[in-house]
Parts: sequence; structure tokens; C-alpha cells
Amino acid sequence: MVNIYVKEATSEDADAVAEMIARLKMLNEELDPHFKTVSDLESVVKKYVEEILASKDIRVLLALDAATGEPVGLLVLRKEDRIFYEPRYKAVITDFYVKSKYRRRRVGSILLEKAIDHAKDMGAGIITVVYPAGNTIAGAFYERAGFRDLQVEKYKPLY
Amino acid sequence: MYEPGILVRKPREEELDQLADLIKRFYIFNEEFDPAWSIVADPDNTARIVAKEYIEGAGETLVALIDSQVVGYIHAEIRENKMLEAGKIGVITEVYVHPQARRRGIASRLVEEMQALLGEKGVRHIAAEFPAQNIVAKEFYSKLKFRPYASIYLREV
Repeated sequence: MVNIYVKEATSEDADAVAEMIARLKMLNEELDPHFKTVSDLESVVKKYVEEILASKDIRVLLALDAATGEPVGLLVLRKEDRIFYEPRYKAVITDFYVKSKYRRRRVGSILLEKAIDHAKDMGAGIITVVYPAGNTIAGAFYERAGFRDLQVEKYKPLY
Repeated sequence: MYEPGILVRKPREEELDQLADLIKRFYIFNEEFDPAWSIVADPDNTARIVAKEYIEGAGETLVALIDSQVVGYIHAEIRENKMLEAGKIGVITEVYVHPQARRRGIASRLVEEMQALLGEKGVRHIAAEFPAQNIVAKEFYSKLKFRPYASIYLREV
């Protein structure tokens, strides 16, 4: 069993965060062609990482292997205002990735537990997650973790 | 039945880079399903070596092309069990279509063409191997009327 610890990522972790976010977007592309990644994915991810690391409404959690210090997983949590509804604030998991080598070792569950602590700390009363409908790996994970459907996004290609 | 303009044939030497890219993508995708499928540290180099072997005739390989671009490939090997009446079995170990070329029946066509090729070599059954957690592959082969035939169980040493 690998020992994992979770910390909030800083600008020093930008490369590790970017690598995992890029892998996540490429996986989404595999599972549904409507998630075709842009040709300059690397630079777009780099800019996105700079933004999320600087935002006060976003927390970037990094799971590390306690023995080696290697980053093994990532979770991005964004606070949003549901102006019409109670509870007013929700924390949305927008990116979640665990490196393949570290799967099946509860890294995802540990990250999710920490995310729930952070969501409460951010003042959120509900935690949600958004992921491509074709990502059955994510679907199975969240179902096991007790998440249920909240809202639905339908699409129709225009071209 | 299949879209026109898609050519399926054996890969050529000049297609090595394109085939290597698809091989790498196949393994990066399957890595997602099980840590035992984790890929090597230098997937680019290794994929080129593997692509070269495939082009030179290791196993059976077919590529799908649109406008001279390699958009998909399939690789199979023939396994023989002398004790079984079925004798030779053709096992598809890799099939991959670039995400942007999906939903045109290319993967199905690759399987059909591979079946014909293996049939000519005396194979009476074809099978497919993929990570047990790869639901996408499971649905794909079920759709093509493949059924569960053998299971592989694994544990770390």
C-alpha cells in the first residue's frame, strides 16, 4: 500500500499539475470525439494552470507519494455561486486525475475526502462534479462515492 | 455499408511515424484502465520500434487510410493449441482509430478485413484481448458478436 499525502498545489507544482490535466483532456478525447483537444493543448494547459493556481475561488489539490514525493494525482475544486438556490455555494470538481500506475490504491478516494474538507472550508454546502458523459471510468467512481445526478447537459452538433 | 474513401491494407515503410503514433495512443489509452498496463518511460521510441516490426511482418497488421493519412490500425497474432480442434486462433491484440476518424465504422471494417486475412491463413476463430476494465472495447466487440471466451487473471509477484 502506497502512502499518500495531499497538499494544495503552488506555482512550484505547475508542471506536474499541467501534465496530469493534459492527460485528463486526452483521455476525454478518447472517450468522445466531441472533446477533441486543441492542437496547442500544451500551451493552453499551461495558461489554464497559471490561472487556477492564482484564483482565490479555486483550490488545486495534489496527491503525492510520501516515499518519493512524486505527484500521483490531482483534483481541482471551483467555488460557484448558485444565486437562486440554497445552499448558495457549491464546490465543483472540474478536473480529477490519478496516474495509471497509482490506480487501485485509493488515491482517488483520499483526494475526494480532502476535497470535501476543502469544499466545507470554502463555505460550500454541496459538492458536485462535471465530466464527459462518455467517461465511464469517472461515472463508476462517483457512483461508488455516493454522487447522484443533479442536472443534465444535452448537446446537438451544429456542423 | 462502410463509408467510401477508406482504404485498408498492410502498412508501408513510409507510414512508420503515423503507425507509431497510433500504437502509442492505443497504449496510452489502455493504460488508463489498469496499472498493469502502465507504459514504458519512452513510449515514442518504443512505439517506433514496434511499428517497424509490424511493417516488417511481425504478426498481422492492417492500416486504414483516408486521403493517404493513416487514421487507424489493427494488429493480430496467430496462436496455436495442438490439443484443440479449433487449432489456430487469431487474436486481435491492438485496434485503434484516431478520435477524429471515429464513428465511421473504421474499427469494424478493420476487424472484418483482419478476419478475412486470418481466414486465408487457416484460422477458424478470431478473438480479441483488451484490459478487463476497458468498457469501450467490451461494447465494441459485443456489438460485433464476439462473446467472452477466456479470462486472464493477474496478480503482482
